[in-house]
Amino acid sequence: MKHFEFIIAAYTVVWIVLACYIFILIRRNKRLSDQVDELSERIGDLEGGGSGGDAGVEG
Amino acid sequence: MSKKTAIQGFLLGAAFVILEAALIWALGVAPPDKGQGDLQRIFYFHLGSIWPGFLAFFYVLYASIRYLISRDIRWDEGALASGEVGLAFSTIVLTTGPIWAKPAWGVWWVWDARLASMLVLWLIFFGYVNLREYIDDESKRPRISAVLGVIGGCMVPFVYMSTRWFKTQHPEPVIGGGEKSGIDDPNMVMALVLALVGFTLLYLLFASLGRQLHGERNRLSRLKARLHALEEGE
Repeated sequence: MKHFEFIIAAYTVVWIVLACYIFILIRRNKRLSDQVDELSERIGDLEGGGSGGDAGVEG
Repeated sequence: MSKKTAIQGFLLGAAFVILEAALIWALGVAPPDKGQGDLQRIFYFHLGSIWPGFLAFFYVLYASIRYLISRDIRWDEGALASGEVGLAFSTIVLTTGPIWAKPAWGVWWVWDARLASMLVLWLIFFGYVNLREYIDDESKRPRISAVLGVIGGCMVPFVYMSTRWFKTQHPEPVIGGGEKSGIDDPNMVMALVLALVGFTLLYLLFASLGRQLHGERNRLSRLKARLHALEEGE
């Protein structure tokens, strides 16, 4: 196959960009979930009971 | 498992299988192009990724207009999620393009209307996705983003039509680009269709995940405000 290295490079780039984007989404999701959990817990503590931090905050 | 998670799982699985099939068709089944030989095989994922990329930018245009009319933050979340996916797909186009151009044209890049307008479109959406983080006023942020989203979305037809309106090194569009610009072999068409369907499914998946994330981020802001109010009240 002529220009094999260019074809492989192009297809590799496609998978790298897609993998990076999925990685970014997963990392962001994890960070956000951690922050939401932490804040919910603190709000629950301040309100004096359980994990009621989400109450009154619409999703 | 929620219905949304099940749909996202289905989209991921279907996109993976279809893109694998597209890869097999593009590299193994479709015949080499009469003019460019095997090098033309880059085309299937090059075009396959920009088509849903344009779709993503059109959705930004639509959702931004809806936001400007209704001021409903969910339209802003949807537009931002779609803009990010469009940016990822146009990054694929702007990187696979030069890899194809070097052996085909002898240079990595030429400043013709198609390549330059595509780069400008990418820069607009790079700004759209990233600059909003620097707008401190949360009430202005979605409005400014929506205006930029409308400008970026309006640029898409210009990018698509640039090869017809100007003399460019880049070939004419394959879809609706005239008699000589299309692909004729059924296996070539199949490779392209599989890539288009696979990337479109990925767009739907990424947009859904992104929208969920931006919704969570807005929820986090409200939680922060509530915590602040509780701490002030102590």
